[in-house]
Parts: sequence; structure tokens; C-alpha cells
Amino acid sequence: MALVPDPVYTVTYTFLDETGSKATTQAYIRQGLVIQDVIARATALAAALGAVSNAQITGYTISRSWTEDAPAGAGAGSRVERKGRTIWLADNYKTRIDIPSVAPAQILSDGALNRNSVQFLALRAVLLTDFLGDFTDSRGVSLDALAAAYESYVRTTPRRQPTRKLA
Amino acid sequence: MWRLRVWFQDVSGTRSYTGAWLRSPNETAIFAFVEALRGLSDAQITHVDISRRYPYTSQVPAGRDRGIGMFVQGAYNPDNPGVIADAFPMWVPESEVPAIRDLWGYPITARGFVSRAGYNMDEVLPQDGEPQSLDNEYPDDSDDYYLIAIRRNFWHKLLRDARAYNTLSFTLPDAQARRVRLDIRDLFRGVPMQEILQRLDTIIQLLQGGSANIDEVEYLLMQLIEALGAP
Repeated sequence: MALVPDPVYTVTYTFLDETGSKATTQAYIRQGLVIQDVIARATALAAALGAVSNAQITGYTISRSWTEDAPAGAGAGSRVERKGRTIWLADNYKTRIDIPSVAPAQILSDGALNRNSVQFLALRAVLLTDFLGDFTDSRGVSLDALAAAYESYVRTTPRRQPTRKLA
Repeated sequence: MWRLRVWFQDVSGTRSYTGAWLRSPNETAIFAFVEALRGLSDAQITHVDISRRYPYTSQVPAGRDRGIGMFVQGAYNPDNPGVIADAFPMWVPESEVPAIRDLWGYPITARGFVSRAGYNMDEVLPQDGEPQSLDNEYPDDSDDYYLIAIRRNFWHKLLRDARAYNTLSFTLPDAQARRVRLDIRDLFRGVPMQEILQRLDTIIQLLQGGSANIDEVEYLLMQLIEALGAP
């Protein structure tokens, strides 16, 4: 059971013609390069593509993926609609990370997640201390605190959420 | 910021993902995050991806008729350099053959771009090999690279060349031949070719034997016409 990397970074270029229609094309860059080299190569190809096309290049997306080579199998009764909702603070702004099909053992009787469990402490350490500054909110501000952790379903409205959200 | 997604699948087969934002695609941090999630969820993790969009400012768009330039280039496994292991197709919207020819050699191959499977592409120079317009014929193993020109405003040509593009996706001879066969079958879809050939054989035999019964030949020909969809 291991995450196996794709052999390439995928670079997807987005084109826009004068009617507003969009199109994409892709190129691939081998793994093993530092990310700055990947970005430099993607940028160079953007310039070359711009020179051979009459369309406008509006941007490009660099992506990379890993695939589980031998998934352990989902537990009996697992349902991804049942989320463990965690709310984190980044300089007082909130950002959410859901845990699909949170294990029942992590949920306390009042609906809050057990933030003192070994598993939850591991997640907290990864996001807040072990990789300081790596995990951020969408603005790029580092996560610095946990605000809430509770069970929630896809269709749970705010009024139906657990009263106590932080154990 | 880099967008990290971790994909889950529950026992019912339903998929969902959770996301996080990262300042850089730090593999150690990503794997630690995945392992932490693995301990908290009873669904299985199937795959992980990370992406970042970079805005780019190029010229004001000047085209509108959606012509597409395209090239397909062979890629080679270093352990078996004599055999094409993969093909790299690239579309360039609002482009044409003379322009896209400039992409050969630089920067696609010279700057470390590879095929989807991660194989190296040979340094191909303009005029190397024999560029093929699919107007003429299917490419074969003797071609070093292929050029597809999709004519502007001819959508039937687009469809036809798209079919040929699929052919190019399978550059191994067996797969290529199979693709051509499938294309031919498509061309005659709905027409029972085997039956038509058998009836033609019968007609020829009757005529060669000198014992042709006019009514019998006429009957066979009418069946042929019906099979071919004539009114």
C-alpha cells in the first residue's frame, strides 16, 4: 500500500480566441525536477505556444498526482457523505478541511470530534507544527489554530450542527 | 497557492475528496497529511493530486475560426530505443502547419518535455522524416513524426482527422492496423459487407459458369442494392 507518483507533471494551457471560446492543450514534464525548473519550462513553452497561435494564452496549470497502488479497502459502513468537519484559523480567517467518512470512533456522543485522539493529534501536528508554514488558507496565510471539529453530513445546515463543536 | 486534493471511496463506491492549500508541493508534507487522514477516516484513499494555476499574459486573441495545428511525435523508452513506446500529441488552437512546425525541436524536446507515460522524445528537426497530412494517407512506421493539419472551417475534416489522430495514438503496428480496420468498418457501418461480398462472388460464379439465370442474378443484385441503402 503506497502512493505511486505519476511519471510526469502535467501542464495544461488555456487558450482564448476572439469569440471568447476556450480550448486547452497539454504537455508533460518528467518527475524529479525541482519545482522551479518545472515552472520555468512551462513558462518557456507558454511563450512558444503564444508565438504559433493567434489565440491568447490566459494561463497554465501545473499538476501532479499519486495513485494508491493497493488500496486497503473501505471499512464496512463507511459513507463519504458523513464528514468530519475541521475549521482552522489562518490569522483569524477560517478555512475548512473535511474528512470524508470520518471513523465513528473519532466522534464523541455530542457530535464533536475527539481532538485528543492520537489520530486527530497527528493531523493537528501536520497542519500546525510539523510543517510550519507549508499548509495555508487560500490566500497563502499559514494555518495557526484549530477553531472547530465536529461531525457533519453533506446536507447538514448550520442550525442542525452539533451544539458543542470543540471537545 | 497549490491546491491539494485527497480522494476517498467508501464501501458503496461513492467518491469524495478533501482539499488543503499548500505553499509549495512539498512531498513529505503531502504524504504526512494523507497518512493523518488515513487514520481518521474509514473510507479508502484512492489517489492524491496537487495543482496550481499560473496566469499568463500573451497577445490579444486575433483568431476566431478555430483552426487547430497539431503534431504527434514518437517517444522512446531508453531501455528499448528502437521501438516507439508512446506518442506525444499536442494540439495548438488557432494555429496552422507552418507555425506549429516551429515547435519541433524547441522547446518540446530540448527542454525536457516527455510523453504522457514519461518517455523521452527524440530531438526531431524540421524536414526530418516525412510529415504526413492525413488528407493523403495513414502514417506508417517509417515516419519519424506526424503532422496533422485540420483545415479551418471544415468540420467533417475535423472529424476525419480526429479519427486518424486516434490511429496515431496507437503507434505500435498491431494497434495501428487494428485502428485502420475499425475505421474502415465505421465507413461501412450498417452495410453487411461480408454478405455483399458473398453475393458478388455468387454472381461472378454464375456468369463465369455460363449458366446464369437472369432472374437469379437480378434477385441478387436487388438484394445488394437494398443492403447498400439505395432508395
